[in-house]
Amino acid sequence: MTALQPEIDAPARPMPAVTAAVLFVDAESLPVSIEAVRNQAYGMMAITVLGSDEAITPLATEAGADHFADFQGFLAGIGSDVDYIWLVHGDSRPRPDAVGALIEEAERNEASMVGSKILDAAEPDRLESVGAATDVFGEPYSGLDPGEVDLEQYDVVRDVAFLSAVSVLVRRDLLRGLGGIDLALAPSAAGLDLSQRARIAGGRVMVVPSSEVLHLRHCRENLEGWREQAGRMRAMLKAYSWVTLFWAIPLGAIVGLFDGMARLLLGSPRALMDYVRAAGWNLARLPSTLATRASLRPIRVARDVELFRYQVGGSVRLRTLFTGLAERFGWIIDEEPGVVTEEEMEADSSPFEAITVAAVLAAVLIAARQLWVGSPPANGFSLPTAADASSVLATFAGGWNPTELGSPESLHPAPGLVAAVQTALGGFSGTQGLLTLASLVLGVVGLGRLLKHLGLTGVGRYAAGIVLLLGPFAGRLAGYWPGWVALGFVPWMLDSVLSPWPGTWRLRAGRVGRIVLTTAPVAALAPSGPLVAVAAAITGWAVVGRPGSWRGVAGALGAVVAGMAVISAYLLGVAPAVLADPGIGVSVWPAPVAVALALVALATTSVTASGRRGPVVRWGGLMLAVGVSAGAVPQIGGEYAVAAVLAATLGSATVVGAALSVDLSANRAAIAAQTLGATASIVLLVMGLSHLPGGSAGFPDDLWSDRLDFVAGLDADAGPDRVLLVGPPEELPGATRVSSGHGYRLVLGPIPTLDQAWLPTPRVGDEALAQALAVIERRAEPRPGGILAEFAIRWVVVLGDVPISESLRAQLDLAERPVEPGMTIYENLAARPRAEPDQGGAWVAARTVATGPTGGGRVRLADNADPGWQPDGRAAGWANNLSAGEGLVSFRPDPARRAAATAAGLIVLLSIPLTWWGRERS
Amino acid sequence: MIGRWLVPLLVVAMIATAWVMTTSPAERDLGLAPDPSARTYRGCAGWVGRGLEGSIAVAAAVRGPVRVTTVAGGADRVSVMADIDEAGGALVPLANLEAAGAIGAVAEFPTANAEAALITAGAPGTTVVGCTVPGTTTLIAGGGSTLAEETLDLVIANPYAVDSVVSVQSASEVGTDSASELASVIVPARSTVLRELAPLLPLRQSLSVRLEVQAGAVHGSLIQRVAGDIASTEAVSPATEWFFPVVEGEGVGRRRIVISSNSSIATEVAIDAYGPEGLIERVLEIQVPPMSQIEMGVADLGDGVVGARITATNPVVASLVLVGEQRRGLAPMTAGLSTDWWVPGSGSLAVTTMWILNPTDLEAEVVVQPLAPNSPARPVVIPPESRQAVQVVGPGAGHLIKSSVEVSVMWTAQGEAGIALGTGIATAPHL
Repeated sequence: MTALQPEIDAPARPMPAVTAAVLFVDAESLPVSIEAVRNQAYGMMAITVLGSDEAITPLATEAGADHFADFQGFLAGIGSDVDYIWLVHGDSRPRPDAVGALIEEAERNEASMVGSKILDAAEPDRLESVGAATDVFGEPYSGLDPGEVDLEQYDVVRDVAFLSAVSVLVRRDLLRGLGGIDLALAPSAAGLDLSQRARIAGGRVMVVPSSEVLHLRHCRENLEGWREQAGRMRAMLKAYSWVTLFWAIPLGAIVGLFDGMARLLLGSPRALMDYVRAAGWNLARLPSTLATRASLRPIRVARDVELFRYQVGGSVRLRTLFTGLAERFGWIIDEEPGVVTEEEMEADSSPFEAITVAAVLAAVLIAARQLWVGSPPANGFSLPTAADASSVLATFAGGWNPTELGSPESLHPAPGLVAAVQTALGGFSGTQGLLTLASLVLGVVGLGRLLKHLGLTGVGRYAAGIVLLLGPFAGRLAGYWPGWVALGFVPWMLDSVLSPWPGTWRLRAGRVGRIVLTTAPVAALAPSGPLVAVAAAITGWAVVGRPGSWRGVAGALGAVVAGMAVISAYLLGVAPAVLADPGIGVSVWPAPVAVALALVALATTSVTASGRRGPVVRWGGLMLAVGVSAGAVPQIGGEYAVAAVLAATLGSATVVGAALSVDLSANRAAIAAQTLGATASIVLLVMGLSHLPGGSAGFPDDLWSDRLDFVAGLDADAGPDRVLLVGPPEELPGATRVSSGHGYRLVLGPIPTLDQAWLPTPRVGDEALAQALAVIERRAEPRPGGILAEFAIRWVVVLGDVPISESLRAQLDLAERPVEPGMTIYENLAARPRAEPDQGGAWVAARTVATGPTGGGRVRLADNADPGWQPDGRAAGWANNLSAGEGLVSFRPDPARRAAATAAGLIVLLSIPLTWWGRERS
Repeated sequence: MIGRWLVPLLVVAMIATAWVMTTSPAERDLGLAPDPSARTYRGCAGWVGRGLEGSIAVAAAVRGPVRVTTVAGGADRVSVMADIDEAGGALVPLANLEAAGAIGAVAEFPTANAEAALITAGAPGTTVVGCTVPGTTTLIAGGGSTLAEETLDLVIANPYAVDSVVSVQSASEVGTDSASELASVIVPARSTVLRELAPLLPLRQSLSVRLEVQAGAVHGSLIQRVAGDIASTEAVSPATEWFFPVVEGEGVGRRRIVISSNSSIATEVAIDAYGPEGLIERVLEIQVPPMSQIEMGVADLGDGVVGARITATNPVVASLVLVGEQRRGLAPMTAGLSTDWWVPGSGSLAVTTMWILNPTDLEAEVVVQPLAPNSPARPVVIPPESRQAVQVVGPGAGHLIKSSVEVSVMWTAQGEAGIALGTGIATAPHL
């Protein structure tokens, strides 16, 4: 503390000498500002106008003020008899006692830089600034609402991260060492820059609310928004040490780009453009920034931690983004800090937490980038959605399910959810990626919030998000997109269920709405997922106590009811056994080492943890055990297995979150045990982070995005072609039927879509197809194409070495087409269309309707026979035979399921205002 | 404090129990490979035209339609529907062929219990090529010759919808032969490929070719032309046991045995002869070099030999070649024995003689049934370990031979234009 330690007033000079520097903004307001400065009760030694505009000289001369074009000349001319320099914007009107209050508080608090309370000159009772905090990236957080009235509610002299540059009083020697204000910066950024440089030079930066300055805000006119952002970047580059910059720059970039892209998806493209322009601006000025930074080296006496002390945790940009989003639903992402006092800032002075949240978010976003940038890799149950969202919605709402040879059976609600969101977003093709992105962000934030509400503190609750979304148990859902995405929503559902039951009816109504809103996506993505809430409530009741009271179990049952209501259109049209259908191939067991690591973390933490950590880690352990045990029951498969994995994954993440919060106040043996648990948890984290290079979160490689493009290219103009895929079940998209040890399935169109992933219960036509394939495989028919033509199969795609390959080597009407390496593709030379009229012109069969010329005759529709097909539907073998007179055949939807789907939509929509109305207001 | 330990112990117990409960995934059922005997069609490769009229002879267990399709140049050339008559036979003429040349043919039956053969007859001579089950990956045809004044053509037919790739290797009296032009032959779907072997492998007295099918499915045959006669043989799958009755014919001077191996190691071959004194075991023991062939005369087996059994340590193809003045016949021997045989086209040809070897020590009661309606069957008795020649005439798609014991059947058709040698086709007993 030697270089520029502010000089303490000499006892012989009781009144510090002040000179004012008015920063030129515009010619119109300059005379008024000079007059206001001159009228200060505390006398000025001199008034100087700073600026390079040609209009300044005559105005300054007329007002009796000096004029300098830049700070260098001005500071050089300041003598040692001056103690303070008051920097005032040329578009401001300081109240007469403004500088006097500044000097008084600066002297009393031994501050080197003090700033005024800034009020809107147009509405003097409106606050513009009373000093502010920032996040680690320099983003200001004042806590003021726009247009907030000044009721002197913030009139506390306090240390702040930065001051508005509209009115600041700086010790003369400090300002000389700093070189003045960076005039290249926008006004707010200039204040931040000066404040940060003052602090690393050892100065104390305080706001003095009793010093009031009215601000005309002319300096902000014609100011492009990105300039402030660019200025903040430059301030950060100048102030932070290289060590801090090493992580702050990439993190800031990630946050900025994420924020920009998120707002872009929300229809506000400017944020992303602003970020890019700000980054470009800084890149162009990097030499001057580095030069300024170098000039600060001799006076740097404070470390970066001194800056961190006055910063808020987290990212203000992300907080603003999520708060804005969540407020629409009445949720609270985290506690709002309000105007940050010194004590609050010091209490919340955890840049490490901010870094952790940002790093975890960055990690999961990077490790799963292939899933949310566009569509997920098409493989297994990770398939793109159909382009025709309305058709998928109609199918979900009791319509014809065209999967395989068609069925009136329900469509899985996951594609229904995607289609509903896609429709709400105006057909946005990136809906699936958006849902994935939402799941990732909500998963990290939601787990941190859930564990906090359960009583866990520290950054481990956020780091555990990696285990939740990328860990070994989550990996069991890699490839099953709906279940994996449900992971991000499960913590929110549990938080809704496990939070203490509110005391008022309004809050209770809001809670009900919240339970519906948070359970709906879980139920849609994993129909048995709400059962996780029941398991969580019961185990929580048993070991956590406070949040897991009996009301939690009731809330969980309410969540199950809500979930069933939301997917009632699905449940009404599907056999209960389908929920346990193992066709989706999810199993709960990860690598044994992952189980062992989780058990080590559980045991060591459970035995040694104090406070709430103990119950929380035990609750997590029980969830893990319940999930693993349920998943091991042979009769439990399909959707129940998915729910089991959800429970086990959440349990493992909870264990890790608790184990990472090592209690350093414990005795040495406990710390050693906790360190072992934390180490095991870190290994689990690292296992999750192993997905960073690949970027697919462990999902298998894309197999189907474009492999069937030839189908579209060679389309027969009679609607989407039916493709028969044959191969090992693990290589086929979605669920498969099995024949002679290999899998097969039909795909309608050039790409297997998510709505075709789940197979309905086999019907007569499906049985006929199975028999036909068996005949072809076993007897090697000479004309298999003719047999398959009955099912409107135009293409046969064979993967790997399966028995049918041998049969198709020597046959007469499936011509091999060398279209795609790695697959054997046959075109059926005897193909027949899906909708085949007995007379007249060709028909076109879409997913759920077929159209053709009007007139007489009948049309054969190669879908499973069902009386719902009209008009005049009859069964022709296993297929439909319909009247072609109207030129249109369609399926009459199930009215009960259509009503259920409509009711479900209304329930979700009504729960939004209910949640808003009944939210907890702080 | 108890809870601190209790819950982790409970969790460990639950997970351990779950681990024990979890059953290992079942072995995947790899399914059953296609059953060749269940196929309802056969394919063949041959040559028609220039005075050779072609027809497909069919024998089937049931009445019904048979469709015969010939292909060439990437398309169907002829597709003919015919009915199998009440006797179980059909002779489908391949008329209206626009051009002569190599053809591939497929015969589709209403049942798997059916066989077919491609018969050509005309001024140049008579040939019969058995149609074979498709999908075989290794086929061998032996007994060809590329001496002066002789031509030998290899016909590879792919009558199916999938392109084929075939590697052709050859062997002769000089050992393993090779011609780079034959290393990888692409046979497009519904096409045939003809390779003249005389320019590629000239002056081989005994030449056999091996087709290794690398993709798709093909049928192959050798077409041998000598002065005054034409002969052909289909390429067949190797086996470890072969039988043949010694056949005789007018103008036939020599009878040669050719044994071709596709094994990568040397193959030990033993020949048991059936002579006037019955079975003489291991009358000859020889070794076939890897991927090569050996040749010997029937006379080398001893005087009065009427048949022989060839056993090999690795699969081989044994062929019989008849050589005479303006006479040439070649055909594979019979791969094993059977009680039921079909001799295709025998009734439609000139004088046909069936040569039946009874290698057992039991008397064979044989019935020769013409495949023509209202044609009476003809009983024959063949003593143990002996051969019988049975001459047949008349119309129809051939003859069925049903024996009380397992026998081996070959046949010859003698005419003005030469001699044809053929192999009986073992059939299902209820054909």
